[in-house]
Amino acid sequence: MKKENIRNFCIIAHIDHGKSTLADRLIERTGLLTEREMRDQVLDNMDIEKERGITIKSQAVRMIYKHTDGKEYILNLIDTPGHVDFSYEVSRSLAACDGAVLIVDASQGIEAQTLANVYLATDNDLEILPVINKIDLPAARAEEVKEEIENIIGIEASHAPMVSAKNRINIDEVLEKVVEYLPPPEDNSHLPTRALIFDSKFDAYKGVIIYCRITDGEINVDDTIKLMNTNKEYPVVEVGYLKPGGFIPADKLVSGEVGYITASIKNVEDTRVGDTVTTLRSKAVEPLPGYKEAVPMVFCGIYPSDGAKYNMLKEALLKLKLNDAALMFEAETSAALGFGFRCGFLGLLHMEIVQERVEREFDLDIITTAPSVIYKIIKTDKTVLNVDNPTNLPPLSEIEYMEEPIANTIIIVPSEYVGNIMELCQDRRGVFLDMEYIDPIRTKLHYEIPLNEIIYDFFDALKSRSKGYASLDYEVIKYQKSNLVKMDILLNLEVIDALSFIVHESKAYARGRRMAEKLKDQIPRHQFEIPIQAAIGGKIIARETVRAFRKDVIAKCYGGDISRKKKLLEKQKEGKKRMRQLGSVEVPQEAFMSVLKLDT
Amino acid sequence: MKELLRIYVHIPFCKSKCAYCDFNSSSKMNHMVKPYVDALLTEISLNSEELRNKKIDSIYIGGGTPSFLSSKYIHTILKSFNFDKDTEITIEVNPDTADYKKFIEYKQMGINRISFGVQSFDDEILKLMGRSHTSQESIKKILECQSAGFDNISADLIFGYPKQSLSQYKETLEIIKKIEVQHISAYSLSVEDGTLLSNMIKKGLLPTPNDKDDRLMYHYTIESLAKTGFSQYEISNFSQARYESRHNLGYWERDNYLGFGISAHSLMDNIRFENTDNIYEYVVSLKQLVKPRINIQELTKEEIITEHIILALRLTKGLNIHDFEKEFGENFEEKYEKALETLVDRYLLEKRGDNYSLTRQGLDLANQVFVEFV
Repeated sequence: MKKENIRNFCIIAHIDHGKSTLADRLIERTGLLTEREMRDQVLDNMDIEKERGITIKSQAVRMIYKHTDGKEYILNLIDTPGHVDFSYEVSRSLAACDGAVLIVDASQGIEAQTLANVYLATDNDLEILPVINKIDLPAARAEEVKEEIENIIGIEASHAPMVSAKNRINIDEVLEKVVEYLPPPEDNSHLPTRALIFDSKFDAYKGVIIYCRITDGEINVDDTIKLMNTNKEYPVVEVGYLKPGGFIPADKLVSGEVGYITASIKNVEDTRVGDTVTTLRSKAVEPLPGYKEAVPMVFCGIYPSDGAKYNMLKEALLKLKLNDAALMFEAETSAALGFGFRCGFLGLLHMEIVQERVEREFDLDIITTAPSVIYKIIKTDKTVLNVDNPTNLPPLSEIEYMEEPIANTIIIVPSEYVGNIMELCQDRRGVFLDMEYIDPIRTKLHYEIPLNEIIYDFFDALKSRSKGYASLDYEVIKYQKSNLVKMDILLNLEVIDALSFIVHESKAYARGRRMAEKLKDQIPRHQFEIPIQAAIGGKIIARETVRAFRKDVIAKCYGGDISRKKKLLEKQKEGKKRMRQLGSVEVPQEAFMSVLKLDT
Repeated sequence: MKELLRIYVHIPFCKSKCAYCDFNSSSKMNHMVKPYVDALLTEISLNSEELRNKKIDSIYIGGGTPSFLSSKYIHTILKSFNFDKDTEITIEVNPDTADYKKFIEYKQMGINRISFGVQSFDDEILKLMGRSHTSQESIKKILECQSAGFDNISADLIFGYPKQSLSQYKETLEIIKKIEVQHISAYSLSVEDGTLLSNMIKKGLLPTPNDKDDRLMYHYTIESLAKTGFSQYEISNFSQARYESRHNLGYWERDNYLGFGISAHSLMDNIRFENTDNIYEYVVSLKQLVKPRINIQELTKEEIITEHIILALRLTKGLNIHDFEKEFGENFEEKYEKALETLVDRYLLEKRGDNYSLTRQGLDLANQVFVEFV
């Protein structure tokens, strides 16, 4: 039995191919919001998402659509996160769907994340409806792109709607074809209750809101739910459907439907994405497959610029964690920076987003230390130690060998830049696996690259060597023995622990030297000379010197113009505020981040 | 007793623009001289209220190059102020736009102080600076000025110019000492964005000035002038006894001053304002009898305190803690305990008697001190 009047689907796309815009248009066309009420991109409601044009947290909306066949359909659009760091979250959103709309940009064609997302969708047995977007761009080559879809992905594209989401061209056809080509959900009302959590979010009034797809059975307002992986039980407070920015309470959610549950839950950690909700009344035995713990891949220290604001930083991280179960953190101390937190992230973007949210939403100035991956240290006594902070590396004499994580990496790039990109991958210790011509102009490169090379501005370097055209997808697949060393940075002869990092021996010399040069540019002159040294195990491999300044004075006072002088001093004062005292040296906050961008 | 007031008049015209100059002046505006002077006179009359019942202690005609204008204009401007024989009246003069006759005219109209834009006595450096006179001309004009009866003459010097060597600069100082002026302003070059000099440095046509040489020249200035009876009374200013510039001291002591002309700044009863920097706007505004003031800012107490500190510390006598307490009702040393401690530790500030002043090193790094009080 099928629920013929329901379609549960998502939109998948490479970044910038127009996912959020199309979602907006569908919502607009089905009359959920009038055009006037419509904020652009209603589904992305965090500032950062809007600015970066990406979706970080997924949500869902329910649309009522009257098809040309005269019948009304319920279309549940589940928005998926748009970045590789969140691939697990994406996979759970996809698992909540029966079909997917695949947007491909008519001028850019298939990109790395298009492929990655299609693979995820087919893994989840989703039917895929391709949509060609941005057909009104001068560079659009819609027919070629259709061929690409058929040749590379291997799905039929002749019926793909040709649209411009931005300029509202052909939006109705997308809705029609969603009904015609994407399958309705199975009706498993008779089975014990199982619902898949594809997102959850903390609300100050309702507690945690669980977004879920009811796969089997039903959930009533008077049920007690049980989360099968975390084993927690809660009496339901409310169930219902979702509209943009709001909720429509209902009596129950039944098999095939998408909706929300609240149950006075205090902690999003108890409602992990991918977990299965069942009820005590109709208890399932097996959870739905595919649940995974969030595994942070990238780590860094986050410290308040002003040490006195440690507690405020802690509050901020706790609040962010309410909505971001993948964020991990624990207290740590640094000799240089004082009290702070070691934080774990799904990837680099996730890290940047958290940093930005702390600064923006909580108005805190923070210092972040160099990102690190988890290294496996095999000690001479054969015990294994996981190290995500270079400071915690045991003495060399206790280390038998070290292992580092390796990422399976797919890069799609216009063929003219292949040489540049291969050079970059080579330089980043990549192991070439294969290369495939997607079409006459683009090539897919497949490499294995150590994750610790990717976290150092690899993405920026990739973009700058391909005029912005290369796209990237990566996933950690294994650990591998590697010749790694710890690099220390000394300012004015003192080791600054916050600047230490672990690097492959073959690159240590170059990176140490570059780092010293960068720091020299960043650290302002002081009254005394400051040596900057890079050292491996006590051996200095690079040195730069910040000369002492001799002159810092406004000599002339033009015709009583005091304001100008004051402005200069105020600017100088602002600069001073962004300094962090490390030992005897004042280091600007930017220095900590800029030393990571050694390529640029 | 009448309230004291200082007057600044800005003359934005020049024979030619110097390479380092980012001041509001132009060499291509001769047709605007007459309308500008008319506007100045209107502006002065519009301020009759502010000028009434004040004792004008100093008038400073600066530029640009005021001596570029014919004396009759200067005279008309000066006449519109109510000054007396005690008023210090300074005019800035470039050696190539003044001569004996002009000095006599200046003398007759009541001007009693001449500030010479000498900059250097080295022709090579003068050329690099884009100055339109030679060192010989400067010497000759200063001597003419003295014979016209002026006994309060100041010379402006610039040091730290690209390619300027310490020995070239020493030579300049030797000459100025021989000529026997009463006042010397020696300015460390600051390269301002947008100037010809800054562009030449960016293009690599001139070397970036180096701080080490700059400071050698500065320290030499202080020592060498001290031997000839010049004492330093401000970061860049030196004078024979009792020949300090009253007008400039007024800026540092936060006296009231009214500025006339484009870009002129004023401080009246703790309100700061300035005039538009656009000559056309200035002239049009005054045609309509509207004062061309912009950026009117009433200072808060904290702002006044900040100004008081950073201006007082520019002077070698420094900041007197009793004066501070009398003026603001707060104890300077308590209010800034931490900053003072650090600055004294860093040998940038010292306390002598009841005054805080910059140390020798503090004179080089004055901004490091000031920034603590902003």
